Amino acid sequence: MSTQLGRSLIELCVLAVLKRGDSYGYQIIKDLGDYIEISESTLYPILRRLEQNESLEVYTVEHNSRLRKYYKITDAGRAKIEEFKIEWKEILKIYNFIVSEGE
Amino acid sequence: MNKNQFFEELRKKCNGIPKSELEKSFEFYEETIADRIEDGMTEDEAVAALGDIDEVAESILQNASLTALVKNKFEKSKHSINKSLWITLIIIGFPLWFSILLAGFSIVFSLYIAVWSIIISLYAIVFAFGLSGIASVIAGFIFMFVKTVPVGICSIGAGSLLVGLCGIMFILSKKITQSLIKFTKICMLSVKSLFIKSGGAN
Repeated sequence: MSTQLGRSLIELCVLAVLKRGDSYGYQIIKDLGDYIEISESTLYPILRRLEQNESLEVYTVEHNSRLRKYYKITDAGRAKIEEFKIEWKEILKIYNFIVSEGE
Repeated sequence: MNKNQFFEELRKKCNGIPKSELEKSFEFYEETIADRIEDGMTEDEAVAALGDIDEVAESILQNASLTALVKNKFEKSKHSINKSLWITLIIIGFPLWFSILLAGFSIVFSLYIAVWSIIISLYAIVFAFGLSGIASVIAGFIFMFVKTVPVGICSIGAGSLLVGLCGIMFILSKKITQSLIKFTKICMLSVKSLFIKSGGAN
């Protein structure tokens, strides 16, 4: 998968996880691990970018006498997910067409 | 590698990055290391789970350039604000500078028309001379028969004089018109060159 496509897809995966509920770094990696192999070094810039384009918010919670950063999806983030779903419905149609033509 | 070694190496690899960016990313990795330790891993295992240290450094560098890009965009937009401010000023000031410009043009234009009116009246005189001259000549011939010959000759004489004057006036007016046209052309060229010069300077 090309890096550009791959990166935006992972971004959407992160947003989808956050849609289910607010989460923190390690938990996101665990949740996504069932679907995609992701490491901190991949996740960190993605979280920062999503924060910069306001698709998510960050807040801190105290946990075991240390501070933990929680990420929460915003309305803009939700909108991105919906956009993706619509776009890819179209792509799926085209895929089906190409596959059927091939036979 | 333990935590401290890891972060020391990382600091070395991420040399040029602003401290705030670095500290932020360190917070993130510290957090996941602590979470992994809570899950039961040892510190070394948790650090290893972060992946290749060069990849980690790469992701921090990548993110730092993104932040710099965002800052850059903000600065550029400041510049474009300046330009758009100018454009807004020009648009708002439109009634003022436009009316002044229009007044100026109107004055110049009226002067120009005044000069041309003089020329036109000259031609009118030429025409009048010519017409009356011809009329007198024709009348003179008629007078020769209707009145007396001397009266007729006088009329013809006067008429010819008028026609002659008409001819001279005509040549004069033509010359004046030509020089006025030349003068206009020179004026237009100098005005044009003003714009071309300033355009080149820009």
